[in-house]
Amino acid sequence: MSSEDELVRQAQAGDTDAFCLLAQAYERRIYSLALHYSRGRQDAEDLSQEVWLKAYAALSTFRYESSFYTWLRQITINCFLNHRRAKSYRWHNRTSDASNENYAIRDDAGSSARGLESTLQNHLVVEKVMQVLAGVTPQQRLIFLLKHQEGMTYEEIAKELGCSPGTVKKSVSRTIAKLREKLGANQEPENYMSCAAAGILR
Amino acid sequence: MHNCKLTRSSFIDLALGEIEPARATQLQTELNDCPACHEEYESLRSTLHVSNQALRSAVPGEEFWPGYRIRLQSKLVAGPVRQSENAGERPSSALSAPVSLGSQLWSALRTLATTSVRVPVPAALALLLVFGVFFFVLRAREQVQAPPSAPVELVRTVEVPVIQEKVLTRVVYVEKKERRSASGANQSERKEIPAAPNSVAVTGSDPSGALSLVGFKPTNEVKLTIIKGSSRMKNDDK
Repeated sequence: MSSEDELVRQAQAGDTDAFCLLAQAYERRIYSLALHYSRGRQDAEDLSQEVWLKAYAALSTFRYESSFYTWLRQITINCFLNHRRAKSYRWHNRTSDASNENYAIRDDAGSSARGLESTLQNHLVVEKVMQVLAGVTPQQRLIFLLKHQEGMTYEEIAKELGCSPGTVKKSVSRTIAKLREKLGANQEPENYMSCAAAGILR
Repeated sequence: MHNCKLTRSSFIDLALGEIEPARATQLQTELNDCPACHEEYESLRSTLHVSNQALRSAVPGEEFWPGYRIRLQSKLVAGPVRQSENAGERPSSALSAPVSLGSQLWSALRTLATTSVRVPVPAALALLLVFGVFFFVLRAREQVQAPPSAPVELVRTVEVPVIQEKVLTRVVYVEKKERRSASGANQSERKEIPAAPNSVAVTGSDPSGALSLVGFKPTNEVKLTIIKGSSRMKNDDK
């Protein structure tokens, strides 16, 4: 039995400390999804913590038939969809300004050492990506994140969202086309690579 | 034979790993042979790479997570007690905190209000159709069963002008002596002047000389009350 399974068993028995350890292992991935989906730091925190609370409440239903993260991701997707339905007015009304303080790129201590130019360039690139994500529908955004960030297959995403793989494929293609249009598909690839490698990478 | 348009249509699937290995190998060969397609594919990959890095860079730094964990832990403690299926569940110090019935009820209501159920579109349309037909049938039945509309009784106060009848009463006192002399004098005049249709006709056939109203035709409806006798007459009779 893996250490993760052991933690799950302890959490199922009511050990909140074990559950917090589990949460620590995946908190960044869940938070990142929530952040790009909701496009606001406060909403991302609320949404991601709602995922953890629901996961804790439903922990007894986990049967070890899949990995803990696969099970957690299903809860995450359902939570996102329910959240969107409950707050649909906010999603429509939110501006696509990615440069506001709620949705800025990380500006930690490391970035100060990297030079102002690369930081500004990174900001611009990140802002463009965020603007593209802000310009698509929540479902298209979620599909793109699940495909691009989570590496799920078209079939897996279609199954989770209750649509056809063709719809998923079309949605991903549209989002990528918008990204290419925004970032400038005719630019030299080296520009992107240098930009991505310049500083904000982990 | 290489077809640039056909090859490029598979680029996204190739970059995202959604293509079978055999087809992927074939595409790679075509890319190596066609510099334009190769450049296009590299451009796509770069876009995906940059966007991936941009998404990752937006995640907050290390200083964010301790506070996040504390807030999550406090929510876990404050949240409703998990309904464990295990009878012998080990009581946790965090979960053993008493949760009031009100907060449980509120949480249940909130869950009920925010929970949604996925319904396929055809099923939803069919349900809507059934409800619509049921509604119209119900309305039509109500209209058929409804009794004919009875006249509405409306009570309203209306002022109607009432013509007040005015009764004029004229008291005529006629003295007997004067009447007799007047009757004698008038007899000759009556012979000369024909009686006016509206005048009082005093017939001479009356030996007592009493006033008679035979032939009297008033032009207006005037009610006359004639009182015979007077205080003098009474004295005379004595």
